[in-house]
Amino acid sequence: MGRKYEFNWSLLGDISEGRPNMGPMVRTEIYRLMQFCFRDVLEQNYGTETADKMFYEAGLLAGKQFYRNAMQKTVDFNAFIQSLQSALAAKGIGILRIETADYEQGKYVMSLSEDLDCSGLPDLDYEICVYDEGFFAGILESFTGEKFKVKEVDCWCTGDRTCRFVAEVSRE
Amino acid sequence: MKPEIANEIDEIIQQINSVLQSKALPAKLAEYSDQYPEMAKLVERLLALREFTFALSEGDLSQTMNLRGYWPGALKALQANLRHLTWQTSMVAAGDYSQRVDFMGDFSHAFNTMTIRLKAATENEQKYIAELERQQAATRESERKYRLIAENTDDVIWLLDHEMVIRYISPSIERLLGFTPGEVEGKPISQTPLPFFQVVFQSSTIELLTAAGTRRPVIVECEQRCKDRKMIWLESTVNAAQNSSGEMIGFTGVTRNITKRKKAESLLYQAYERTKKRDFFNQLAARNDCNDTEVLEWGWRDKIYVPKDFSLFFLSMDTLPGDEDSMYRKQQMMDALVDQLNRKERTNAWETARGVGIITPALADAARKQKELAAAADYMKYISMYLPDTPVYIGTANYSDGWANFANRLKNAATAIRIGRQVWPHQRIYHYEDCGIYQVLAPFAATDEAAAYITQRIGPLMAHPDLLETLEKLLSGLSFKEIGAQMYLHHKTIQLRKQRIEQLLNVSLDSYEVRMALSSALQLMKIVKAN
Repeated sequence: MGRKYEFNWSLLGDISEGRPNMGPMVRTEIYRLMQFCFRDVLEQNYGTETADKMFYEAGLLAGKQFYRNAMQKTVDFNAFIQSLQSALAAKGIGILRIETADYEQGKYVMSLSEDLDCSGLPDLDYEICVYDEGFFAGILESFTGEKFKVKEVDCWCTGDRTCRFVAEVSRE
Repeated sequence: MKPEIANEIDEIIQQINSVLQSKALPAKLAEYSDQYPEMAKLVERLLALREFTFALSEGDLSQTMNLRGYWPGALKALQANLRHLTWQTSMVAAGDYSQRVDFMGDFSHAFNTMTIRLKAATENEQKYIAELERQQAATRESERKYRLIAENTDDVIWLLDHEMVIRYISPSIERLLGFTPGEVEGKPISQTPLPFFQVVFQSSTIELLTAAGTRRPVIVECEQRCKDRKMIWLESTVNAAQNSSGEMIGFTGVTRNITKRKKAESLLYQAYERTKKRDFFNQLAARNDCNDTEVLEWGWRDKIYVPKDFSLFFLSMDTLPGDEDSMYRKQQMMDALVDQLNRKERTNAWETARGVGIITPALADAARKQKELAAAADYMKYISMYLPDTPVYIGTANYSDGWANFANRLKNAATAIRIGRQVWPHQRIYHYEDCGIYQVLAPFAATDEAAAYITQRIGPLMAHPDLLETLEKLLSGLSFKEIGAQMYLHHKTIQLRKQRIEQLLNVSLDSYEVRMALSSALQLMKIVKAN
């Protein structure tokens, strides 16, 4: 039996046709309801580490698809960041800010305020935006052609007011 | 609460408060921290927050704070914002004016206004620079074109400052005059080997060029000696040079060689003068009733200055040198000859149908004829320098006062040559007054009766040239012996020839009348041949 759920952008459907009255927007808690229920079921079935790994990979796939289908194509890094900022803001995902950029080392520190996944969550004492980590890794890999490792170092859930990610080119 | 506990709580609160208020830590803080482990943790966190906050206040955005929670989170959010602003500012510094700050209140507005204005200023600057570069490119192109023209034209282009120092002169000066730009540039015009500049910049020229409201160029022609000593004619067109504010800063000019043009103008002028004289004198030669006053007035009107009393010469040539078929070439030579004669002092020369007429002032004194012959010899010598290989003959007219007999005198001068070449073939200068009987015979020679008379008198001798020659000797009064000596014959042969002539003509040569009639026929024959 072949695969049943292999992703492609067309699976998102024609929302304007399908939801002429409800429109393209959905409440954030509904998005989170689905995501955190997924986490729960995955963790119960495969354990926390595997559940996080699956979310990271899902984010990686989403990032690549997002870059391919929802972003303007650019050549230089600054224009790429601007395009990403615009796209993230336009889709209501969050407010992206670049804190530092080391082009030679391929190391970037960026923060995402009002993050769709976590802003407003209760303090949990651990970073939760593992999907975002994969998402940024997928976007950066699509733009640069190099594999990236992205790690969240500060999160709303750890009491911070913004989510901070460190992205580094993977030399492995 | 016991007073001791209350005091201790107050003390601990003061200690903690001093962490927030004082730079130095209170001495008892360590004591309480040792006594209460939770207080030690609190103090440690407060100190971490203090240190992180101090670093932020110093602009150090590199600090890392491991604390979590609301307060540390807010500080880290501030650090994130400041780091992002730093990155955005570095982008702006690198020329990316599209950077915008959102969600930071008044600062966002100020920053975004700054980047918008920077972008506008940069765009304006870029436009200005682009326009400047375009103008500079246009100026360079213009300079390149002007330099190309200046360096490749035969005309010499020059620029003088207001102190008459040559600031620029095109390289063509070397082709024109032989001097290089380096020999004249940077020098006042009076210290250059180019005197034409001083002729060009006479005070009148400068007055014309500097007069208020005038923008017309001044054209000056003058001669200049080249480096190789050759003289050439130059024409200089001079303009006042002004800067963009309209102030006069010197003079610009173009100088060119007009030697050929001057020569052409001279030739044209000579041709005009030549034609004018030819028409004037040939009209006079067509009539024989010229009135002195009338002639002098005509002359004045045409600016031909003629004397009242004059000697008249006629100049004749067998052929002109060069290709005989080239009428143009012959005419050129004739024109040059007439011009050459007219350059001679007190001489008017003009071309006639058969030669050249010449008049020169004369007085009817005793030595007049000798002077005329000397003048003719002088003309002959003068012409021989110009036409050394061409036989030239000069006939001098008989003298008479004024212009009344001009036409006849001109004919007589021509007749003198015609007769002289037959009678005195070894000469080239003839005076009409020396022609004796030929003066009378010459008019008759042109009639049919003359030919009939010759045939009637000496016709039978025409087939015997030796007898004609002998007859002429016999009529000259020489003895048989003398004639024989001249003709390298025996005197008896001369005697036999005399008898033969008498037999053929059926006359006696001893008769005076016969001798006169035969003599007339012989002279007439010479004139007829000359015609």
